[in-house]
Amino acid sequence: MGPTATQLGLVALAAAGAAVTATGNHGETRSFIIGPMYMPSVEVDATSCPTKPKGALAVFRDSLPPDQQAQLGASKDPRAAVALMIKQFGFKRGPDDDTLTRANFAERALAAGLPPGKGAISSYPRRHVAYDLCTNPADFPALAAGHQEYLGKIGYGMNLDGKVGRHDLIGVDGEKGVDNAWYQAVGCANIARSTGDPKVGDNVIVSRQAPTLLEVTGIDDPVNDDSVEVNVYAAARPLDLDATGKTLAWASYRPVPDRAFFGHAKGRIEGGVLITEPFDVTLRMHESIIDSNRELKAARINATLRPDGTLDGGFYGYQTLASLEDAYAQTSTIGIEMLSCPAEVLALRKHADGYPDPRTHRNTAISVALRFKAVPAFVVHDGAPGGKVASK
Amino acid sequence: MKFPRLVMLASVLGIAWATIGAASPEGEATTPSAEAPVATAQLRRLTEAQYRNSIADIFGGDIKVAGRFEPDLRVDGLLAAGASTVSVTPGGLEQYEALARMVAEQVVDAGHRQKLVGCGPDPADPDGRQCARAFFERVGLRLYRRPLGPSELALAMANSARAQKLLGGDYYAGLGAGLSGLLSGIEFIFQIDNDVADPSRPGHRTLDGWSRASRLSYLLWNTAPDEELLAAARSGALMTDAGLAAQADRLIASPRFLVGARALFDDYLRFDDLATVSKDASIYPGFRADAIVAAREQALRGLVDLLIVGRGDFRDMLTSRRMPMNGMLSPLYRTPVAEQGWSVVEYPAGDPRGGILTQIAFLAGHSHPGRSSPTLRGKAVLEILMCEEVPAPPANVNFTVVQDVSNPKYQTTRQRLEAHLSDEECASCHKRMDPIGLALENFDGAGQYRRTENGVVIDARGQVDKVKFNGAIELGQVLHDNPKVPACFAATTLRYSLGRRLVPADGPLLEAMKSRFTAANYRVPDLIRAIVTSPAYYSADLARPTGQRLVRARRAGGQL
Repeated sequence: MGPTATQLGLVALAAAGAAVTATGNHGETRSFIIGPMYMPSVEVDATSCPTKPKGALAVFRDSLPPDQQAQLGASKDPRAAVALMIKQFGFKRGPDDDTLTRANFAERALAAGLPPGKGAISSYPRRHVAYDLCTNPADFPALAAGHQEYLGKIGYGMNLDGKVGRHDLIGVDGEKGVDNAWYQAVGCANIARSTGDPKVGDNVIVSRQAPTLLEVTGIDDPVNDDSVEVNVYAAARPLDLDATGKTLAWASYRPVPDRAFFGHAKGRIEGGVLITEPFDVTLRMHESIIDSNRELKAARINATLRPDGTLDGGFYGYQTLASLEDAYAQTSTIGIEMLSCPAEVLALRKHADGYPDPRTHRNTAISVALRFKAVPAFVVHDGAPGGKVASK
Repeated sequence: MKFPRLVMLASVLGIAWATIGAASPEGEATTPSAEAPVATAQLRRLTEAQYRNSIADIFGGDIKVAGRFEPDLRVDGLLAAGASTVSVTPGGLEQYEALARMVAEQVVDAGHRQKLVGCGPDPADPDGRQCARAFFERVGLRLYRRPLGPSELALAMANSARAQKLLGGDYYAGLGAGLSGLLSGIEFIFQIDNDVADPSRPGHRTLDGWSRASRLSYLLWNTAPDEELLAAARSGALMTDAGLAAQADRLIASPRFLVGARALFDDYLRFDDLATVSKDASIYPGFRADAIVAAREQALRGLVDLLIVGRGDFRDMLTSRRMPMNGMLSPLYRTPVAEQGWSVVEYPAGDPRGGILTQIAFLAGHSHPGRSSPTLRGKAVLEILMCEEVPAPPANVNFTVVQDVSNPKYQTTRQRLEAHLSDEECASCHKRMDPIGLALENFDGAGQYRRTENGVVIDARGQVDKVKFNGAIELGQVLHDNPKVPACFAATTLRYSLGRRLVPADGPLLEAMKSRFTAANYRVPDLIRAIVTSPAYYSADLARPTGQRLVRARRAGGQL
């Protein structure tokens, strides 16, 4: 048999109730793994979303001469329209290539005949180089037609800049000055309105291949504590699901060693609500069809520690446009019936409200709200000082 | 060679059970003598694991054995004891024949024949008869755990020749058909005891060397005898105390003894029942599909590590804080693990986990799909650990009050059971079982720790044999100190080793083994060694109905 848990340097990280390992004056530690994480949507109406944004394919169809529309209209199969769109706009796609990386992208893109300096890595259904409306949305402004921004006043989020601006939202809890320009840019889109509904989104697991770990240390009082520390990691292995398909509680995860995916913040607990100071963190977003990141600047966590040991709340901060656009690029043409990459990306650029580029003065990040639900977990650190295994 | 052709041929020739009508190896009839003491043989059907292990050892691990086996029967708490009472149904016979054909076809196919047959027709042996003889002599010895008798060998060769002719001259297909017949033979599927006059005790019978080799190997390694053990049988060494002890020590010192010990522990704790355990996912979402498989593995790894590798005190299995752990189980234990594969955790003093009764295999295995069961857990402790018999409940019991977990009047399992005990007919048995099981109520039906049930703090006080205690850890210690537990294990191990119920005549051997176990500080390898080196273990003086069955079977051409 192998060494004991103590010899392995395991740290029993506690979560709810009795499942706590006391660490003297340093308080207890509670750890969590995030399952669902998404942009939450409020219920929209004719005032907040007067029209329904069209997917790129519908925009393209509408742009065609009547005879071509009639020709395509007879068929419900979108493939003919997609083929025509690809031909007309000159989209390019390289062969499936599992060895494709950012390092060899330029070479592979050249070989695949992509326009110089254009294109991106796309992941669906296999990795390949691509040049299309999602990799380079600005090249296809015609497909951005008919976009509908969110005109409502209510939205999820936090007041990130401490100001109450004319365009700011009112939080669902009544907070004024809520900054969530991302929602204002694309909140009427089909995907935002469907999977953004908390009744749906709270049950949709994201980034299963590389879920996010939260570790709250130094908890002296889980209800009111004026000083705790919060660590954020990307897990080194996929998320475990329980027998009902939801996030499995109390599983053990190692963080990835890459410090790029580590975030640390000071925080406090007020009335059972964990609130951190702003900190920068990059969250992994890795699914079977997407391998991207969420780069958050000045992010805060505001989340409730539940009696059942779970944690739910959100990350609120500024996500870089670069990381957002990378995610769009990877979707390639998957969702062209549901969304228009040019419309959404151009809207995001328009609404970007943080971190201006010193040279261009254009904002490089946009305020966001990312709702999450987390369950208790163990974070296993290499070489951490050994603690006792607790099973309670 | 085409598989369907071989199937058809075997059916046409009736090869499968043809060998059963053959004489016993040395021509000695296995007929009960009219003189007392009666010397008889015992039959024990190979378990699925023993069958698979035997094929892998004789022909190699790459020979596939895909198919269903006859269900085993638990007798007196053990499948091993049931192995001497089971027969083969017509459906089971077809399964064994299908398995035999499958194995035989692989052994003689182009990819294996060079290694496993090693010869064929050549100028010096144009019809391949010498090759066939050598092949069947070599393979027959391993399969039947004794040399083939002359008629058995002749039959195998004749069957091969006929099959070759019918299959268009395909020599290896013929060999395969002959091998299929051996594999379908009762002498392979069953361990058969053959006895001889006991040279050291005139007037008594004892098992012959070949039967001793089979007993040793299937008990200690859970597989067929190896070449060295068969050589010891051939030389007569196994008929001497020194030779027997030397082979027992060799087999126990081998890493393969861990396999044999696992099989013993698996049967002792009735873990085959775990295969049917399932939990209500809505109540126990952390109990994933493979959790019970992992729980069984956890318990067996822990026992082998503690009792065999570490030569620990058997009783410590009830108190040991060390547990194998993997990522499938750790969430149920709410325990961190460094790796998703197996590692070992050690719970500190004061933790509610300690001993096998706090492991999920026991806790979840003796619970209902959606709730714990102090009654089932208590029954398991009484029957498995203490060898006490618990009668089945009356047919007309009203379980309503126990099963209704939503009744606000009874919020804990203890309260529901106490209400159930108002039925006097039930009370007599529940008074023995429930006080044991209630001590484990801090673990729910999936084996997860809980401090409360429906908001009420759990009362885990209990009692065994008038000794009172509180909680699972104290229960483990009480059982650790109860002499019934190791005595029960010694008796169970003896039954397992003999493969049958104990009879009054086994009394002296049983008492001797209990004493040896105690004297050996409850070391399991020492108990097993004491059994297999005891002359009484090989006695063939007992009259057993299985002997009559064998004779009838042989006379009837193999039908059991």
